[in-house]
Amino acid sequence: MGFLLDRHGEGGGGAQVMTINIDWLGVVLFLIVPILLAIGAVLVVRRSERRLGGLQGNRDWLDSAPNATQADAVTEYLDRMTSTLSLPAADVAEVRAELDDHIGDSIESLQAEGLDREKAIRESLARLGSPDELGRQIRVAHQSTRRLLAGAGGGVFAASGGFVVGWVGGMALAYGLLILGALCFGLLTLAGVGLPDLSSSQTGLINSLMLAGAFMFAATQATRFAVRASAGISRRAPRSIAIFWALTSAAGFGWWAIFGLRGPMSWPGVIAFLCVPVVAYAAAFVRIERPMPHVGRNAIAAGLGGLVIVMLSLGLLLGVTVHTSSGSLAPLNTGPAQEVSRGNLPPDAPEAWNPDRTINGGGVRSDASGGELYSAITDQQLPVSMATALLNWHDLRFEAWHWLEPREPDYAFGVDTRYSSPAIVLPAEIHPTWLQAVFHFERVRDPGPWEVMLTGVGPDGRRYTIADCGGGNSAFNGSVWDWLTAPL
Amino acid sequence: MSSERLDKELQRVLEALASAPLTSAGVAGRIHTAPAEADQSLLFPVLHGLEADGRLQAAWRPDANGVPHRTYRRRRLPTGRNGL
Repeated sequence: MGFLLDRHGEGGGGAQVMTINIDWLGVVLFLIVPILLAIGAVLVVRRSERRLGGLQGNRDWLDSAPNATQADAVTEYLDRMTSTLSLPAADVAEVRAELDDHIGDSIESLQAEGLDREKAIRESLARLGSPDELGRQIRVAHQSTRRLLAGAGGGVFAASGGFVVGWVGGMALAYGLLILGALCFGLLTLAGVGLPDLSSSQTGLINSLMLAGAFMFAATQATRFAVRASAGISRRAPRSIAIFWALTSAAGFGWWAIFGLRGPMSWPGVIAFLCVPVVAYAAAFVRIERPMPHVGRNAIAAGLGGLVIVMLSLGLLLGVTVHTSSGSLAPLNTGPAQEVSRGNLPPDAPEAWNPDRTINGGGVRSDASGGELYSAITDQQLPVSMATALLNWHDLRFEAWHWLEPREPDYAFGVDTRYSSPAIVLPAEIHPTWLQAVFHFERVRDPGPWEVMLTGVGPDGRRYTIADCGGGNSAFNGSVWDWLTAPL
Repeated sequence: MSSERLDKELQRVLEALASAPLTSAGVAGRIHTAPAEADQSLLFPVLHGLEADGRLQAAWRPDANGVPHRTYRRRRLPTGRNGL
């Protein structure tokens, strides 16, 4: 969403002019289309549900028809016939009422011809033939291939809109729970209860659970919308087609949840994502015959207005976040001056083998692959080629070390001594005046601050630290599959 | 059920409904007059098939006594679809 709004700053001397360019194609694709999909899907499902929940429209008066209560033989015949119909509930009720009425008229007619009631009932039912065959024939008459195809198409459409509805509802629910949780935390903190700072240390956990919860809710709604819409359109009992949508949703949303969706992850979030296929499957069956809760027009209008506001806010927020976070990672908080902890970091290179620190840390920037490109450069002011600068060095590599940010109580700073070796080691790619390596910290499960060092083996055969290339605070950002297959 | 029987029943139902809307009992009364033709096993499949096909329109309408009956009437369709 952040790309919908593109901010450009210009000017200097403290004055800054900010313009916002709106990507209208993006607005249409990511705002208007989902809203239209959601509205269309709700209308389609509503229309279909008229067939699923009982008699169509207000037809309670059908129950007052004189033939509504027939003899046992007629009731038994109708029960057997309707059991083979496999149509939506409203259609079943309508067919049954019609047959009931027809049989009643037929009995009266035969009685008028002189038959006694018992014989008239038997004759009336005999004329209609086997109840199983009659039910089957009526079902075939209703369930044409054309309706089946229309039902499949309507189901896909309803699933798309249902996903939007579910996603918005899921996010609203997630944010609501987050706000509620924050309020509870705040109140408990005010009451003097010591609680961990979840907001800063567990953002991956919170974000992944919110993402998984919203996705699960969306998949559930999409499945239920699809079953109801396709059942109503194709004139099939929801349970008779639920298995198709259950398997489709479990496979489709399961694949998407595990391989397609990328974002912050944590073990609880990953477990929730792995439950998506099961939840999507179950959603096709659980209480599927019951209509959706009715939502009034005012509530829909308010919801859509809120959706627009939330989406625009998110777009603006993400746009700002993208622009402020790109380019460089946040600097480390230094706090009170402390001796830098070196842990098992190789010793600094002797001055003699790196005169005037010819090789410097070149910093970090985003790589097109989604990773972070760390580099080391020769002094830009001196015409020193990398080949010359590396005369004393071989086996050059970039090492990413877990890094401690200075925090209370001891403001320890430097290499995290809980780790005896670098977390990631990459060979340095040698270019004319620089060295580089691309790190994918977003694929590492253990998030936190990193510092990347350029190390190399000197003339004495020992490894030394040649340059500090910078670092940052990274968090996992990938799919469930990336998480499961990430290096430990 | 043979296709020939089905086609014949379909044709007779459409003919019965050509002049005025009828209930299923009314249609049966028009087309199943002879004792040998008392079999109504195809009546409802044909009525519902024609309705699904758009050639008939059905609605619950109360009779003179206020009792509702499902009544069928033929729909006016573009040339070529209304024929038998």
